[in-house]
Amino acid sequence: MGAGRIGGLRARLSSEHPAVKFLAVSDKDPAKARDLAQKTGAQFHSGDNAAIISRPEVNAVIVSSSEGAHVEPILQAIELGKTVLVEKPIALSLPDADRIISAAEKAGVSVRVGYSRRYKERYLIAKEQIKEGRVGRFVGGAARVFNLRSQATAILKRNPDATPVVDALTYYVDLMSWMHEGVKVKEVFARGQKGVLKESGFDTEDVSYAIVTYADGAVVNLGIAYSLPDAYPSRGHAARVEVLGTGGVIILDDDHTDQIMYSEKGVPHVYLPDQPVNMVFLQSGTPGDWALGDFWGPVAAETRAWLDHLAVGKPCALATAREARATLEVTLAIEHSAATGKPVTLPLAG
Amino acid sequence: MRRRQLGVAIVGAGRIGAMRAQLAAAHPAVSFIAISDADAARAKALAEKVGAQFHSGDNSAIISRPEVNAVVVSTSEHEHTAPVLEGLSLGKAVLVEKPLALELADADRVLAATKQSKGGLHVGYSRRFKRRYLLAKEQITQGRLGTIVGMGARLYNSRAQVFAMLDRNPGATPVVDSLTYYVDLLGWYLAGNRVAEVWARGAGGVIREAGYQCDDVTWAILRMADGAVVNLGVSFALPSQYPSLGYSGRIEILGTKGVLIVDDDHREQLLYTEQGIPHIYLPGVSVNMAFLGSSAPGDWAAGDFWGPLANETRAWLDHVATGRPCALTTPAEARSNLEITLAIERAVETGQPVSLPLAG
Repeated sequence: MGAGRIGGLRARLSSEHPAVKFLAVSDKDPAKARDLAQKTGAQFHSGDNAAIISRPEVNAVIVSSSEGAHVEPILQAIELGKTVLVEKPIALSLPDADRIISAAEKAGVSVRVGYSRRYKERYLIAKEQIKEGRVGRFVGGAARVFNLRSQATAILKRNPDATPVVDALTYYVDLMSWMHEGVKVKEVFARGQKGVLKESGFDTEDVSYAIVTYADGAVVNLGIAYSLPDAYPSRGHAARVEVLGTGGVIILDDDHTDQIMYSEKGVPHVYLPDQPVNMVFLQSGTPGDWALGDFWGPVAAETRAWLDHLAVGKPCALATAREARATLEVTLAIEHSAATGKPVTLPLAG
Repeated sequence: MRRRQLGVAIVGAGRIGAMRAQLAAAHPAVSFIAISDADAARAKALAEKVGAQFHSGDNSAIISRPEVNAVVVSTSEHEHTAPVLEGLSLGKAVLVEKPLALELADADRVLAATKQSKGGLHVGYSRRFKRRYLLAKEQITQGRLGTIVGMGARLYNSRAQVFAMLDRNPGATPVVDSLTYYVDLLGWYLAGNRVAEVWARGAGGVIREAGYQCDDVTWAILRMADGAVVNLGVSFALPSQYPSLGYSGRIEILGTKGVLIVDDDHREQLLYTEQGIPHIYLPGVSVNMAFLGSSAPGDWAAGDFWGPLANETRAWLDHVATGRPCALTTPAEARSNLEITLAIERAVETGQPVSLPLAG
């Protein structure tokens, strides 16, 4: 559901999965749905979401519509007993997230949320080390993500509530909470500064930093700047994640500066197709990259893991609806703290 | 073209004082060296090592020597003030290790003395003289980042270092003692801006478990007067055998026209040796795997000392000998660094935001 960039990828990946025998795609623009259906060999396409969710052949629904349009399709799928994968964030408000959770739990239907960064191998491997006790007790950590200013304006144009914090830093809130699983966040403090994005007409910070304190005293530092110059060589998230434990430390450099290409021909820019860039950090594309006719990277690994889970019951590590709600709450608290200049205590009042 | 001969007094013959002495002894303008230390035997041993002309167990005895026109104060952190005031009162050029003092009142006494003195004072925030940080400063000076909207810096070190530091001085903290270097860089890079408010949190772990009053990690967010945000972090709790032989640092600066990312973790120079590599500060600590170049003051190589401490010492001596400008931290900048680090500590302790300037 939703034939945009990510929906297109999900459809393509699904169409190639050995357990998938039927594919239906929808988009509020019926022509986009039709084009995607043609590309992927889907059996059915429509300009109406309900039409595909209710197909009897469909037992799994992927909701890839834009951030503000997740709730209704999810509820429709739950009502029909169909398992759901929805893109992050689960919703843009806590009441909407709660409606989804309540409906899913009542109906006994699984809703997973596409925090696909979990499926970038370095983060999977880091999670494994923590699970094996190799860093001892989690005391603190840090994660930050940079991206181009054109990425920020693209997501804000799509939905003004999808700020870099709620739409992108959310991945790193999810990662850090996954690394420090089972412990609630009790306090959030954040500050940001405005600059070029404001000059472009979006009342959003260029850079925000946050300090998140967990109930057990662990303290995590987060940062986001979706304001880098457009020719900066990253084609997606430039990130870092660090975990500090009593028994060890993990330092993950996810800036992709280890894979450099300079091309005189230039490479198409992710969101600005008329502006090829000459220098790129390969493998910096956020969902992954095309290579040799196949798509490789976090969205591919995550989609495959979810479909394998549905098809053969293999456990998967995708974020649950409750985890996604907790992450949403932290990102909303970050925005609130930055706006008021005051720390925010969790849980938030609804 | 001024060329002055220098007589250098090195007050404090510990690890840093010893390096300053060796660097001074090799400098072309230095023709006299005097060394003092509370432990007279230690002063004597260093004097013999560097060929100093005079040594003493009494700091005043060397500061007041007529041959001495330059004084390096390398005593431990809580004993900077007296020798600095003495050197300034005698009109000598003074270099004092960071931090300038441990209390604002002492820092203010020193600032007042600099206004009355014919001598000058610089403070040894030698991280400025690590080349990648110098280059970053140049880019900012050239306007290549536009208006700075944000900056992040973090510093890691091993718990072996923090235990040694706390044994030497139980009141020391990674924030006042070491994160201060990155507070200094922040002041240098965002010159003309001012820290308005500090928020910070810390988390306890192995260091508290070992019986010291010190957090494993501290994170701080600073708001500048113009709204720019600065994120600082320090953890001196990394495992003892972590391959860094000193600071693992990072600085990232975000501006309206550009971004600057400085990786000071030294992961690109790896040595694994079964023989083990000694730590420059911690006798008895050696690691098998090392990030070369990570030693904070610098490294010995081919008979010479290379790195931030060497660059800084040479720059200061050149300045005193020839009048050439140098980029060392000024007393006012050092006072500001101290104030910010104290504010960070207070913000952690109280759990509240702390506005600057601090009320004494």
